[in-house]
Formats: sequence, C-alpha cells, structure tokens
Amino acid sequence: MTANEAAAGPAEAARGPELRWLSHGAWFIAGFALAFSVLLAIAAVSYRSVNRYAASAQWVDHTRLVIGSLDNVMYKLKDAEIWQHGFLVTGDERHLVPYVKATEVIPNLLSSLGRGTRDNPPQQAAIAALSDLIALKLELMEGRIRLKKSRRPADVTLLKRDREVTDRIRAQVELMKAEEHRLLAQHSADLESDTAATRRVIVSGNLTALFFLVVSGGLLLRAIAARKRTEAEREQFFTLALKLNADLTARAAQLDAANQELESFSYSVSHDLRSPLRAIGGYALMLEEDYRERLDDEGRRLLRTVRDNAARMARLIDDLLAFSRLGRTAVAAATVDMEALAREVAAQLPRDSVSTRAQLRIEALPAGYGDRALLRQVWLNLLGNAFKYSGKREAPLIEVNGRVEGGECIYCVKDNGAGFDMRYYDKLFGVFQRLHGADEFAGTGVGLAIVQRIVTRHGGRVWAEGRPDAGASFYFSLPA
Amino acid sequence: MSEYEHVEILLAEDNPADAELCMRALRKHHLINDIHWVKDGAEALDFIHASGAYARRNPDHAPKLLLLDLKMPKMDGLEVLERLKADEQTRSIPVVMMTSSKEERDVVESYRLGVNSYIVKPVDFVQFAEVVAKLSLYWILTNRVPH
Repeated sequence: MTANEAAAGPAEAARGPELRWLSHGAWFIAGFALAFSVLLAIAAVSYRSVNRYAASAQWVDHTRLVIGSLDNVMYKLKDAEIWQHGFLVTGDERHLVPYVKATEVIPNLLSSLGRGTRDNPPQQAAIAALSDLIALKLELMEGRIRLKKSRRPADVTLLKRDREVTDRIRAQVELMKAEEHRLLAQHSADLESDTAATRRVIVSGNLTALFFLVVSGGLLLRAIAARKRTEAEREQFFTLALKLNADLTARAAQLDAANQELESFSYSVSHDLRSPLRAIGGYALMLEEDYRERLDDEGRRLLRTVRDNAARMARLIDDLLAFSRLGRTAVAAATVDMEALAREVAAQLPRDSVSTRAQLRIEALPAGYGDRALLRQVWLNLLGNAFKYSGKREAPLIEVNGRVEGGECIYCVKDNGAGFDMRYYDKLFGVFQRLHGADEFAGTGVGLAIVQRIVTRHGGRVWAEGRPDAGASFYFSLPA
Repeated sequence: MSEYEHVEILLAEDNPADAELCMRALRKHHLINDIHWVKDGAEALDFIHASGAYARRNPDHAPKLLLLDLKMPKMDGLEVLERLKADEQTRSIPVVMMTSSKEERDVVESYRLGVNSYIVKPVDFVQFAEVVAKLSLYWILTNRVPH
C-alpha cells in the first residue's frame, strides 16, 4: 500500500487523508465481503424456507393420508355394517364373506393410522380410543351375527348399543379429522408467516447486497480511475524525465564538444604564439649582443625590458597551457603517501628559490587518495609559494601538517612570510590574480588557481588564512 | 671540387627567425661553416640525395646531422624522416626532430619511424640556443657514424 501511496503522488495527497483511505483496497474488499455474506445469509434463509415448504408439503400429504385412512376405516366399517345388516335381514351366509373381508382389513388400517400419527401423542391416544371403540363395535356386530346364526331373536339392547358405538365412532373420527385439519391449518399458518419473513429477508437482503455491491463497485471504479490518473501522471513524469535526460545528455555532449574545441584552441594558440615570442626575445638578445657598444645604458635597458616581457609572456603561455590541460587529463586515483611526496617535492625545489636559512618542518601526514602527478603539482605550488613568500625573512619557517577530520584528510602549509590581506581573499585563487607586485615577488598568479583546480577535481576544497606581513596558512582537503 | 663538401649539419626549417636563431647559436660554437639551411622537406631530400637543385653535390658526403623541423610546407618532417630511414644509403644519418609540438602522437610517430632524437624548441631564446648548441656538439663531435 505504501508503494501505492508513494506512487499516487502529490495530487492524491492534496485531496485529504479521508479520501485517500476510501481509495484504499480495504474498503471495497470489505464492501464485497459484506455483500457476499448478506447473499450467503439470504441463501441460508431461502434454503431453510425451501426445507419448510418440503416439510409442509409432507404435512399436507400426511394430513390427507390420515384423513384418508380415517375415511377408509369408516368406509370399511360401513361396508361391514351393510353386509352384517344384509345377513341379519336375509340370513344368507353368503353375506358373511364380504363382511369378514371388510373386518379383516380394519386392524391393518388402524395400525397404519397409528404409525402415521406417531409424532402426535394426543392423536395417538385418540386412535387408541378409536381402536377400542371399533373393537367394541366389531364385538357387537359379531354378537348380533351369532344371535342370528343361532336363530335366536334379535337383541334390542345390542342394536341400541351398536348404534351408540357407531355414533361415538363417528364422533371420534370427526374429532380426529378436525384435529388433523387444525394441525394442517397451524402448519399452513406457520408456513405463511415463514414465507412472508423469507420474502422480506430476500428482498431486503438483496437490496442490502445490491447496495454494498453498488458502493463497492463505485469505490472500485473510483480506485481504478485514480490509479489510471496516477499511471497517466507517472507516464508524464517518465516522459518528462526521459526528455530531460535526453536534453542533459545532449547538453553534456555539447559541453564536451565545446571543451574539446576550447582545448585544441588554447593549445594551438599557445603553440603558435611560441614561435614569434621566441623570435622577439631572441632578436632582442641578438640586438643587445651585436650592438652592445653602439647602445647606451638606456638602449640596453629598453632591450632588456623587451626580453623580460617576452620571457614573462612565455611563462604565462606555459602556465595557461598547464592550467587548461588540467581540465582534460584523466585522474588516475591511487593511495598516495602524502608525507613522502611532500618531502620529495621539497627536496626537488630549485636551489635558487629556496633560501639557505629556510627551515622546513613536515609532520606526519595522512595518506591521500588521488592522482600522484597532480598532487605533486599541488605540493610544488604550495611549497614553492611558501618558500618564495617567506624568502625575505631572517628565519623563514615553513610548517606542513595534516589531520583527518569529518571524513576528509586536511593538509596545511604554513609560512611566516609576507602573508596577504584577507580583504582580497576572493582573488587569491583566481587565474592570473596576484596580491603582490611583480617587483616584490615573481610569479604569474596561476599557481594557486592550478592548486584549486586539481583539488576540486579530487572532490576536495582549498582555503587559506593570512595576515599582511604575518605569514599565511594554506589548507587543502581530500575526501578520506 | 664539389659544392657543399664541408656541410656537416643540414637544417630543415621553414621559419626564418627560428633558422636564424639556430644558426647564430651554432655560430658561437664555430660550427657555422658547416651548416646548410633548406626551407622545406623536398629541398632537404634533394640535398641528401644530390638531386634537383643539388645535383652537383657528391652524395657520398652525407651530412653528420640533420636538424629537422616537424611542420614544413610541401613535405613535412615525418615524411622526410620516413624516406630517409627507409633508404639503406641514408638510414644512418642522425636525425634530430626539432619542433614546437609536444603532442604525444608526434613523438610516438617520430620514434616509430626511427628518429634519433626529439627536441621541443624552448620558447626562451637563451635556452633554445643552449639546446641547439649542446645537441649539435654532441652529434658532430661525440657521436660516431659509419663512413
């Protein structure tokens, strides 16, 4: 989800936290789950309802069965009665056959009735009572038949009792039928209310489920739309990013090309400037040498000025060339023993630039990581400067120390020489910028610019502190 | 008597100022009579092979040193170098390339073609004169070539 959030971007975030919650997948999953469970509930209720229908159908059958059986019993009884009557009237024993047939069936009917109402104790009791009554009736009928068979006169009391019992049987049967009908009616009523309830459940359940589905569907659609928007936005960003990248690459290529042009330009310029410069200096010298006697002091001074300036221009060209070449040389990085390198450079400084009185103290220096040749140039320029600017002192003292601090190796070259005014700090590392006149100290003013360029290329910094006539400290750092 | 018999140093240089400075430096060491100056590569070859304008030169008297500038019209120093070193007859003539170019590829190419020495002309005239003098003395006096 967090990825989604992140990808959703500032547009989504601006719409507020509540809506952001809504567009979360959790909500429409919950909606779907609710709809699903409602549907399940409806299904359960419907299933139960169907079961009840089945059950009630059975009830109807049951009732019909019981009533039918009861009717059957009555019918058979009636049948038996008719044949008995026939015999009693005619005395024909042929009538007794169907009579027996009819009476034989009755016990079975009764027992099946008993089975059919097994779950209804009152009804069972009623059947028992009915069975007793029927047994009594059959007994009475038998009695009357026996009388007839034995040609004795009919017993009026038997007849009366027969009629009584028949009435009671009829009444009992009616009672039982009524009971069955009552039961049926009750079940029907139950079913009715159940059905109504089920209908309500189905309707409201479906409506609820539908509602949840609609809401979930809506949320889903909104989430999809939001996602589409995010996707579209992301597409835009990517396209923009690609375009910017392409632009940058093109720019970089342009820059490279421009740099190359500049390189070859400055190279050929300084290259082509050398020849005429050599001629200027050379011819001035030839003039001075060949026409020495014919020139006065002033003439010689003028020529010397020409030569000095030609020489100075030559040094400027060399320095400029070196400075520009720094831009394109590859930096070959390796661990460099800075202390050894500093000592080496100090030892190799031209004799005439180092005062014999000068004292050099190099302390333990942390190892640096960079291009040895370029770092040598840094030491050369810094140490050379230190010696140069302290050369006029009685006791020139140059101190070199270093430390590791905050992920950087910091090196310091400190001298007690002429120093500089911090007001002109900005110019210190500029190309050809000098804070001392050429008559005070020689130099083209590109040494520190070279140092800065080299150190910057290594990912470090340069800075300095100084006070006029109170020495200067130059620092440079390299990433540790 | 053939001309140019005493020529021991052949200077091929198209820039007159540089040529003059060069010869002046050599004059100081008394080598001036032994120098001949040509202005381009074709002339240099003509001289060595004793052809064209130098048909009357004795080809057996090969110069002891050829100071060759890299950038010259008609035929540049590398081409001259290549031809000279490819030829049995002229292969043993010491060739010193003297040029303003510090380009690594020029140095590499020159040595590939068999240059004996490669000098970059200093801007400073005094240094230039020193260099020219020193190397000339070495190649003329100290160095030995087969006869």
